[in-house]
Amino acid sequence: MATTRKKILVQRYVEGMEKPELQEFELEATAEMTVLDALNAIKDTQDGSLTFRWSCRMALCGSCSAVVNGKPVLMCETSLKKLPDTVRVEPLRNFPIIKDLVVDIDDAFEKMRSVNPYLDRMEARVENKHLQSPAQRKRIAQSSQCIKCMICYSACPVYKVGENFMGPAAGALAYRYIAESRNKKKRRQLNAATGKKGVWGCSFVGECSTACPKRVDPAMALQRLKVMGALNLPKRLLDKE
Amino acid sequence: MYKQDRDFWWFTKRPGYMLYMLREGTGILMLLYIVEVIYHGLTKTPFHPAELWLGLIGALGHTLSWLWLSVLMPPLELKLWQKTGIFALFIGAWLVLSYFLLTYVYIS
Repeated sequence: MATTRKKILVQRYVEGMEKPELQEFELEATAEMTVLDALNAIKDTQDGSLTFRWSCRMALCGSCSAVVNGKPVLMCETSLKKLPDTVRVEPLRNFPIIKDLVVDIDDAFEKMRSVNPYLDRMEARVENKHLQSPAQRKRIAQSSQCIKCMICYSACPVYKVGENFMGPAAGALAYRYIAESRNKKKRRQLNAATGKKGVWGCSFVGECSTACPKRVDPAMALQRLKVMGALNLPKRLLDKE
Repeated sequence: MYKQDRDFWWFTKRPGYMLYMLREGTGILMLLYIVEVIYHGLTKTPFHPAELWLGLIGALGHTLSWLWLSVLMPPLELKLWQKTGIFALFIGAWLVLSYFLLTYVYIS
């Protein structure tokens, strides 16, 4: 089997180090190998302490996101043969580093929880009905594709500095439930998404949508939420609850 | 844990960066133009040609950069011809508004 010699530069960090450092590895890469395959090969044969998240290996779970040659991607679907001979692998930007390529994404998940991402329809539970037309389903299909890989958070230049900005994935998640036809109590979710810690920090850079591996288009969701929030403002001001 | 510094310069190397800055910069020009139109309308003072150019550059630059940025991004539900049509309507509305403000507000 034909192989190509690749140089893999991986950012390493362990608690106690002053700052992260790049470590160089070399391996013979086959044509089918992805960046994730390369890291697993390095971990198996060269340095067992190399730490990174991965699971499904088929771009479904969102675990293996990292910055490869400056671009946030899923490592399991990033083919080595499409990259130069020197590949630089770093952890996602905008998140604190726990170890090597593993980052702390608690803040992003907290922002997602803040939009109350669930259906609220008590009467349907009683009737056991959740009817939805194909057109209604299509409306939320794109936003439903999010796999919570956090690549959009890494691509967003606002998230790092905007403490009151919910971020792209939370915006897509909020839109998914607010646009959901089966959701009958969406006011609370809309208020959360368009409140003080909601969408308004977004300046429509669009990098989140460019980087998203599932084509969720979170930028679209955020702009639509802004329109919904603006239209909802009179109701919100009059809301005495 | 290690708190990463903000890597601002990464964004400046992205293809959409210059376009993003153009969009924001021309947006500021448009705001200045609106303020000037209101000012000249209220005070009945004459326009300087440079101010009209300011408005035109701001409006067209802002609109075209938004159009281009939308094209660069993954497609939304709207088709390209629909997005182009929307922005053409925007440019047209902007020109009509400018004409109205300049002639009726200024003259009266």
